[in-house]
Amino acid sequence: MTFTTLTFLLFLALVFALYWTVRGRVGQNAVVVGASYVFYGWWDLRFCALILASSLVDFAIARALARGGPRARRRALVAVSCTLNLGLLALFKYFDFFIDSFAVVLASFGLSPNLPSLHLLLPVGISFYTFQTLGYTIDVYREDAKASDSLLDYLAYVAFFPQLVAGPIERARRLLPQLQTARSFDEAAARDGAKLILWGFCKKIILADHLGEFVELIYGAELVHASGPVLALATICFAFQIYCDFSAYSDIAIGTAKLFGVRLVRNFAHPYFSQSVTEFWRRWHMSLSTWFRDYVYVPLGGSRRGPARLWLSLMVTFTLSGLWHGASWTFVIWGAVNGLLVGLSVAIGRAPRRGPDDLPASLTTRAGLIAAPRMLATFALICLTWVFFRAQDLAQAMGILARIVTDLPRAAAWTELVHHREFLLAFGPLLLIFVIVEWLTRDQDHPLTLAAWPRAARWLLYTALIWITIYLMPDDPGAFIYFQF
Amino acid sequence: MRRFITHALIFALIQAVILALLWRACPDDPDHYMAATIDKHARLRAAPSPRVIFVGGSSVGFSVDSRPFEALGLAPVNMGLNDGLGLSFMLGEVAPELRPGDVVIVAPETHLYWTGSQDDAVWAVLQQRPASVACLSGAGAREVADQGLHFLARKVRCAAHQISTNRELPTIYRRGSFDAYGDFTAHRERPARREQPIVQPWPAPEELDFNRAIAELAAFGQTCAAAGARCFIAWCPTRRAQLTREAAVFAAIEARLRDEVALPMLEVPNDVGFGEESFYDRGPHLRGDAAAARSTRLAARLADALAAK
Repeated sequence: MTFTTLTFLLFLALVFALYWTVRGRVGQNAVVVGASYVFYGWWDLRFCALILASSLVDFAIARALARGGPRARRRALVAVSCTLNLGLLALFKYFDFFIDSFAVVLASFGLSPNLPSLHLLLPVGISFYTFQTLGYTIDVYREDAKASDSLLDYLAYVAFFPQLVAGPIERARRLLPQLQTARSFDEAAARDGAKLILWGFCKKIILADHLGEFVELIYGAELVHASGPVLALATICFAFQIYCDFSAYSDIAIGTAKLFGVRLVRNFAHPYFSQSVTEFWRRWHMSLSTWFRDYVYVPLGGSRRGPARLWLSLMVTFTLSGLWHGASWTFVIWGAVNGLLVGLSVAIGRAPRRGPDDLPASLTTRAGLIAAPRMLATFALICLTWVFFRAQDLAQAMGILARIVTDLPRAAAWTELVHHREFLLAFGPLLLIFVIVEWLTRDQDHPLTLAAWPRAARWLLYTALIWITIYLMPDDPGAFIYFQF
Repeated sequence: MRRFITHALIFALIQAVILALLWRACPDDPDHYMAATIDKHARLRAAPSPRVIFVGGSSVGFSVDSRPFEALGLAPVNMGLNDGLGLSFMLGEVAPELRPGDVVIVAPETHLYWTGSQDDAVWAVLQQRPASVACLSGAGAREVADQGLHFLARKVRCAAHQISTNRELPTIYRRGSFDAYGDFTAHRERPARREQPIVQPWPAPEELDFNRAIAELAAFGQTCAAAGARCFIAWCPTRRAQLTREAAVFAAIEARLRDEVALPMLEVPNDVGFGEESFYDRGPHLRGDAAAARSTRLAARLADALAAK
């Protein structure tokens, strides 16, 4: 079930009523599990069997881990969990990719064996819930989280529908305890949740879907036909498309969870206001970044064992992160390039260490004036990496980058922008307004908080946003980009 | 909780009032293209047996000329309206109305072998003819529920247009453009519209899931047999360049149809490749002469197939 549909809105109203009608933890979790399986089965009923099997295996392994025993046995149990979870991911997501890549390697030696391809349907959200269940088992093994005694609580933790298919990827120690007690209605949180849902709808429909149409027009062709400035514009549009799309999903997920008295982890913290690539990765898809940090980067040694190990840890972590996004060499290269940029950023070490809670300074201050060019430079670098993410293959990515570099100084190439004036005139100002709103409200969780506004003004704004969003809903709306991962 | 619910209901009520106002600004148009569904269903019920019933989207409406079929002693009923309705809905419209001796020619737009209903087409038809809700299958109902906001969006855009201009858009895509058989005829004598065809490459056949459409067609074939009707498969008119480019997809569908559906084909994909000059607009809509020639050929093959019975 997709968030931006009438079905979801009706489903949400029904589940909300049912959830707050039943009393106690068991009743609430039963509603969550039932609703989550309906939500997930809406795509394909077979998916439910997969997530149930994955949940049962990790529940059983975690219970076995909790019973203690020799270290070797515990390690074996974690190894079984890793093998099963990653095996599931490998089977559904990567099997054909590795087979095809292997065939290419063999072909380069003049061999053309008939290798099998599975062409399996990729279950929506498998990368997200696999990481969530895997993280749970590892946390129980490390004794960072307690194994759940209740299967119902655990099923609710894995399948919690707001974040099931595209995150935020929740840790057991954060989400599970919330599901292990009865939730009481928090009016302020519910109001905020409803506003977040509205803001998510606006970002997805008004910006992401329309920017996506333009990006598809330019990137959708197999040959690089557009001029450098148009390609650069399409790349910038993609940067905002993917941000608006994915952060919208997170906003709707977090907002929906708030309606049910559950707090999900923040996933985005104004990533395009970052002053270095390192900072960008602390602000972008934070639940995945911290997952890789805790389960890959730190175990590999991280920054504690000298520069060589640091580089190794970074490159492995970011390359795996790229591969997590999709079974394609473009994603692998995208991850590796980001690893390289983060490594260089750490090596140079001139940018101040900033985290997701550090607010960018006002542009009227000296600090703000220093920060502005850094932000722009970081944004430009990130945009260049998005070319790999969005391109259909490596040849197209390299062609686009080459065209951007060679065409930008040519005045004649800029005239091609005129062909896209309608799009620029319609969505250029909207994008600008969006960036200004994001900047002005960077100290808030989202721009619709508006605590100081009188109710009538707030309701007027919400009403206007609702109808503008419906008015601008495209005939052929794009699915959320991160569904494919 | 009570305060939250009260405020939410008041807010929802305000939105409902706005929706009602917008709805009033964009009233149902009796000559709307989708309103032709009323006439098509009336024709389906009223046409004497034996009938030849054409099933498909707008390509069937535009690209079938029913007259050569009437010469076979069959009463033509062209149900072709819009590909956004999806194959499941199209078959659901006809299945309960079958009679002994009927002939059904199913010629879905090729993409309907792997896509369901799209946009808000079913909503638009239901608005014109609520009884068509009976044509929805389980999966179809799920898709239609998902498309509700798009119908609402179109209604809002229509209202904005009415409020800002209060002028009708000049178009031939209207209910009145269909003839008594259900054929779309207004374009037949007109020069082609100079529009860029939609060039959107299809995925490779192994990435497409034909299972649902194949199963639905197989089940429909059985329904026809049970009703004493005969069912045939035809193909959607396609630009030659696309037919060449997507040959693998056509071949894969054709193979599945032959292996699993066992309905006779009146055409093979190569028969429906047409030059750009044969099309009226950017859709799979043949101009009058091309539609007549294709229909004459199709009718001849149908006559042969019926004679060979």
